[in-house]
Amino acid sequence: MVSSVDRDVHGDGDRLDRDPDDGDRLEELYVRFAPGGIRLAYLMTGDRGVAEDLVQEAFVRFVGRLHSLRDPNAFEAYLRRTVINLSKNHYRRRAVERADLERQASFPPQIHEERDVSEYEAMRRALLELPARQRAAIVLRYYEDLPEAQMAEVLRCRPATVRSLISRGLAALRQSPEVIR
Amino acid sequence: MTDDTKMREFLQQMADEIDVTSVDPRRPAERAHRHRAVAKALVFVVAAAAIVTAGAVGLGSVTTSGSKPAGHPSQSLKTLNAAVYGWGGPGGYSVQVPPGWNLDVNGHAVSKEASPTLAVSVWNVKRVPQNPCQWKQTLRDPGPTVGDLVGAIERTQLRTATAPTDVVLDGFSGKYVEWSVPDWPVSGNADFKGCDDPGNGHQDFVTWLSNLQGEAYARVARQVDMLWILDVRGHRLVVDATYGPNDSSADREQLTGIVQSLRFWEYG
Repeated sequence: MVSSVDRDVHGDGDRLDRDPDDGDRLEELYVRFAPGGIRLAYLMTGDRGVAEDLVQEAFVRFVGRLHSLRDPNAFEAYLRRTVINLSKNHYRRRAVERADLERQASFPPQIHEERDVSEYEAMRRALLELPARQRAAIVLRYYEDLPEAQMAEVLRCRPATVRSLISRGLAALRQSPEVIR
Repeated sequence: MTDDTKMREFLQQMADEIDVTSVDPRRPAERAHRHRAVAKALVFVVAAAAIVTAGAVGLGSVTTSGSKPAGHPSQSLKTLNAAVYGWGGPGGYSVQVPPGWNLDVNGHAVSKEASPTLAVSVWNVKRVPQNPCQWKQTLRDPGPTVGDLVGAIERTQLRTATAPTDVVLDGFSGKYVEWSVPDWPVSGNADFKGCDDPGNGHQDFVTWLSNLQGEAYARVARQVDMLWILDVRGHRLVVDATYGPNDSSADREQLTGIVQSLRFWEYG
């Protein structure tokens, strides 16, 4: 039974609140797919907190469409595509923030990022410094093992562009010392 | 080894950096709820602004005779939400800061404009150098507890630590220590003469490294790090408030005031 107070708080037409089954289903989907989504977002951002945030956001955006979900595999594809897009947007925001700060900054920051010289750290840093689309292409190809056609769908481009993004990404990584040779 | 194989192994290793074996299934629903709350608050704010605007131009019934006086000190404080260095999961902290204090670009440290030394940050400390100048070969994991880190700080060469005292911050207990940097020739951008280069051409006098990315280093000779080393629901976190020899007592009061306003969120 839903009290009038509950309706006042939640009665904004959101299907999750009107149908308890949707809440359960969302939780099931989260337990099943969130770990993979968080790992994917982590590879895109290098920050666990941000990764979890992006995946939760992807789930929230799907709430209204739970009833139309027939095939759980379709959700996996949705989650992958949304995480990649949210990651790219995240980096665009960060780029704007950085540019703004650079204009304002009159003194160096108190604390800077650690500069580990190990090969793994160098590779990690080089990956995270790639343009977002190149990074996404590398991650989808070598971590998600997606075929070219699916990558093109996620990245909303032609297969030839996918090949170009991977090629340019690998070339950029090779330019970093101690990275792929 | 081919590029393909190496990339696959590297990405798998990076993905394995984080433990996602258990996720809280309530998170999306809680987030959806917050979204709705924010949306409703925005509607309220927009409506209130419209009423105030209408009142200001004489279109509404809002009276201006009872308006609050401007410039109340408490109104000049703002809340900043920051992240913890080296903390991979959700969670962070908030502080109340006076004008002139801002969050750094990475969202971690809170620092005073135009000051190279005045800053507050929170750390998940992983490695402490036995020698802060020759730090590359002397980094050690101090162990996980408050006492472990206090011991490592006391044993660190070149720096002087005050005797640890019991402290409570935001309800979490721990130890308070003041840790001084020695007098040292420093040039350029915090380059301590003769100290190890982290790989960027600088010479760092290192305080510690965090659990993930992040290196704390001294900015000036005779800098003091005021440390609140706390057990926050089983996590050892360090609040580091720094000042230099040329900072005033008023600056230090601002620092401690900011620290006293600190509140942790979503830990444990």
